Amino acid sequence: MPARRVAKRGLLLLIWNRTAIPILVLLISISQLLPAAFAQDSDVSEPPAELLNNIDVKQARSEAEQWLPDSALLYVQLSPVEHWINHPLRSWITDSEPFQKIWKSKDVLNARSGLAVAEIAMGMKLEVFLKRLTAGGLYAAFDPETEGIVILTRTKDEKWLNRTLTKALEFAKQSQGQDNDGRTLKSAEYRGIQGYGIDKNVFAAIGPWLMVTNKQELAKRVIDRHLDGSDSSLSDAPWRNSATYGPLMVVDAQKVMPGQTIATLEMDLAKARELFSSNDLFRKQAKDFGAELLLGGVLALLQNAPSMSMELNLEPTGVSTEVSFPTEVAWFAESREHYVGPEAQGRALPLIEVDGALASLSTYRNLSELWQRAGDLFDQRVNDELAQADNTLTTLFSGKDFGSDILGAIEPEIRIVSVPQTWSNDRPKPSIELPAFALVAQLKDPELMRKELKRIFQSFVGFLNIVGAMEGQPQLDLMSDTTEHGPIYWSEYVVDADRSYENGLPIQYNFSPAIAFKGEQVILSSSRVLAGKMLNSDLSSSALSKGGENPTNTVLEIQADAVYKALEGNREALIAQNMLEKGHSRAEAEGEIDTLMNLLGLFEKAGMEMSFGSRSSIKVDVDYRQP
Amino acid sequence: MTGMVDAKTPLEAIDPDWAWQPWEPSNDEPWNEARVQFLFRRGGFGASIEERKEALQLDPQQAVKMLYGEGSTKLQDRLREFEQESASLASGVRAGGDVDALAAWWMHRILHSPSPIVEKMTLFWHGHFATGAEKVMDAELMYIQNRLLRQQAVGDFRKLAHEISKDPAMLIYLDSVSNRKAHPNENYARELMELFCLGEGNYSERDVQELARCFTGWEIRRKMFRFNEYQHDKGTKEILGRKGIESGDQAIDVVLNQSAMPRFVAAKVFRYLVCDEPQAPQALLDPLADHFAESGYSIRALVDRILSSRLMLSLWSVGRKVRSPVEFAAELMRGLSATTNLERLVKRLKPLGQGLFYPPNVKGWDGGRAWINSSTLIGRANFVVDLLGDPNTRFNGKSLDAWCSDHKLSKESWLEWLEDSFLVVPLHEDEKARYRDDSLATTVSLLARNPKIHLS
Repeated sequence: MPARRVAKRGLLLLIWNRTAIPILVLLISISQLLPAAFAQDSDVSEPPAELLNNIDVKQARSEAEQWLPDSALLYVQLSPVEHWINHPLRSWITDSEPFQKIWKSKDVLNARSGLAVAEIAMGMKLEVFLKRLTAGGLYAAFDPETEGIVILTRTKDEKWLNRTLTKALEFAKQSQGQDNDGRTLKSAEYRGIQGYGIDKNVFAAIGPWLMVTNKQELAKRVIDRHLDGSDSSLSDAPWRNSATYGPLMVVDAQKVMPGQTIATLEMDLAKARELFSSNDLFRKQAKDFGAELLLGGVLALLQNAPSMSMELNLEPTGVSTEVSFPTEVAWFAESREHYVGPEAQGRALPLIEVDGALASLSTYRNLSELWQRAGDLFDQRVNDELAQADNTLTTLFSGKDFGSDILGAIEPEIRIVSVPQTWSNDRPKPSIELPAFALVAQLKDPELMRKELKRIFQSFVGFLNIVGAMEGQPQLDLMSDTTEHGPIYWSEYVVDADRSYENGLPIQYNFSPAIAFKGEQVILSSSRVLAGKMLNSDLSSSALSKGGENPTNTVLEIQADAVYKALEGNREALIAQNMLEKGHSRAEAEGEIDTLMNLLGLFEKAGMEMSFGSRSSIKVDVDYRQP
Repeated sequence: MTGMVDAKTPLEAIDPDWAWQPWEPSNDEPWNEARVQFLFRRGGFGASIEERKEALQLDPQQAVKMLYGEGSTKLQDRLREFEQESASLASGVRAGGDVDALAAWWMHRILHSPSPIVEKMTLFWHGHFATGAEKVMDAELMYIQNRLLRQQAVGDFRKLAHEISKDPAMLIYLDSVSNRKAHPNENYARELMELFCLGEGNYSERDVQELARCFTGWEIRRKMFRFNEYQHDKGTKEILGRKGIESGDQAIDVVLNQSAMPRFVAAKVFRYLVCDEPQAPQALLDPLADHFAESGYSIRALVDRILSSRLMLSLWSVGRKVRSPVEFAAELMRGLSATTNLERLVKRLKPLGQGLFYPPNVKGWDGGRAWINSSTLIGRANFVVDLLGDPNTRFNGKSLDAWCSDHKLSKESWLEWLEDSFLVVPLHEDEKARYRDDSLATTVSLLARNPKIHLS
């Protein structure tokens, strides 16, 4: 097979493989690119770093923004590869077991061979190529007027770019001759700038800049701005005044500091609303109760903010991303006070710390207000469903009005904890093991509500027993205890001595519903054990220290170890699902599940923090496990 | 073809003594690939290229044993390993309690079991003792019934009839969860005689009423069978001429001891394995029924006699059945060594008229010509397009092109290969010209519109 075909086939495999491979292969391109196996060619050795460091990235960015049209909807910047390629994340990925396994797999070996051939043809390693290509950063925009995407990269220098382009064109022409796939390489000149095209894609060298786009018209607009200048360029777009981003990373990644930005994305939200007005994200009335509960405040921002900015940051032990919006408190209409509190001052309480927790969430949500304001927030269909649910829940809760009496009994600061459960070996365990969860909230009238909630809990258990008995389901046994921290009432499913549980206990046995009271706090838990743990935990209710203009509304933390444990308990069910959904053999399914588990084992934790105020933001960070 | 019959010989003209003698190869009628394929089609769900080669090395009797996963240590080991794997898979599926996932699990067995005849007969009994999940609404109970059908699929019919009569899913489906002496429920009693054991005309309305009295006190409580002696009618009953019957089990024995029973069962199995229509004359079925009775109602004895018979392997039976949707899908997939998203596959079979665990009513599927109409014919063609276009569909773990290349199938030869592998009636030249295409997937989907490919 001719070398170029090998290269092409390898690269296609690299792109099109539909398993987990492409994700890691993409990481290869970013972080590893090529191992020492291909380093013996002296022509492809790495240049001294200082050759690239003399390019002013700020200046390059300013130039790019002057050439890009102000009609752009999306604008993306990528910091020079040189600046972040040696982040410790790279060795963390390449040293990991799943990476090594995939790196040596047949598909990737093909891709590596193809890549090696392409490198020889180009006369440099891919890593070196990318460093030189993005020496002054990469800038891309989507322009809805031309429906085109344009990428501008500030390369090392004009001489290098022209030399590389000549080799690439030569390579392309030869490949074209051999493949005979009907795609022809065309060239044309526009205002003295030589451009090349394959199908509808166009690329051209503009001094030390390489421009690639899928629309000729967009290419012309960029060249016109480059040659003539313009006051309608992206740098002048009014919406960008409200978009912010951190400075792109320009230091040596080996000395990585927290929060160094390697990529940013900005979006003209007003234009997005205009173009996609029928999209659910921009509708005033939500179609889904769950979406409103989880994202109501974010939907308000998407429906009002002029712009949205997003940053991808490298951290010493992981990566983080932050999405932010310029905000006016007035955008949160009265109907959305349930989400952010009056004047957007609703604050989450500190996370509850429990040993071995899988996830811990603290949020401000006035559930009673949400329930009672449903008429303003949702369309008719959702409201009809809620009215029906309200009737059922009112019956279930002994005639108490669900919206005002039950949800209204608790303060809006809500905390939820989830932990994997452990099972003793002397009795059967459930065939599907679910983690336990508990909700903690402060009672508005503790004296009254303790008695009420205790009685409602007893009625609730009775109700479950009656319904369960009608359907042949196991029965709950009600119990209570008084601990030094407060009373606890719980129920447990009775194991039927007459039944053989050959396939493990039914899923219900994951639950031992409990209610407990500690001071002014009520604990509702799916498991007695977790309710007991919560009674022993610090449930102090002082607000998170971060406040001021942007109070923290929601905090979530997920521990990878505990997620791993929860999945491990259900390995058989996951394998079965994989076999039936993907048609895999057992060995293939086991391999895939084990790879997933191994990948999970590489991470330490993930977190999310949502704040609302003059600059609202959602920050997500993922920490990897230190070697 | 034998000198006794040819493909056009009417069923009533076939000599029963000749028909059920074991078939033996001869110079005129060799044991060849066409016969192997036919045996695997009727006694299973088709064969892969590898299975065909393996069976061709055996004699016909050994090949029949191969359908049970017997005959060699290698096959037995493979069967043992498969059963372990399937039990483990079932465990994961049962935990989820989803009937569609359970149907996918069964399809996994249909596609991969080294004893395909057991799955074939399990499917037969599922249609015979039809029970629908839409009414039972409990995946675990459907699994338990399916396990019973499989345990006795080629086992003891008397045991199967006794056990199915106490099966929770069956009794829920036939509204027989409680049967009190004050109001005996006649549903199960009627179906036991009419649909399961004797057929119409072999019992009276009085027998139904008396049999229902025997079943009083039979209840399902908390998804398990229970005998409530306080609700049992202890008075004397007379069923089918036998007096002094007390319990439900005694009553079932009386039904099973009727001479109509083996004839009824033999006729249904004959229709399932040999030909959809016309109905076989009693004289042709009598030797089968006698053999079934003499064997102590061993289903395997009945099935073996049919599969290894002259009538079956002389190829008189070729093209006399219409493939059911499950058979069509399974034979295509086994033939191409294909794997896919099985949950999606079983869902796609429902609009074609055969959802596993969802028979249309207590009579089961009508089968035969009823499988095919203008809507299901187009549905089958679309099914092929969806199946072959599904990103999860692989062929021995590879793409269809790679699989074709492994088996040295080119675009010039795959229409002939498909014809040899899946069609029992040859294509005309003009049909071939119409179906020949650069893509195997397109060729198969075009072929699926031709009724010929649905004949077995």
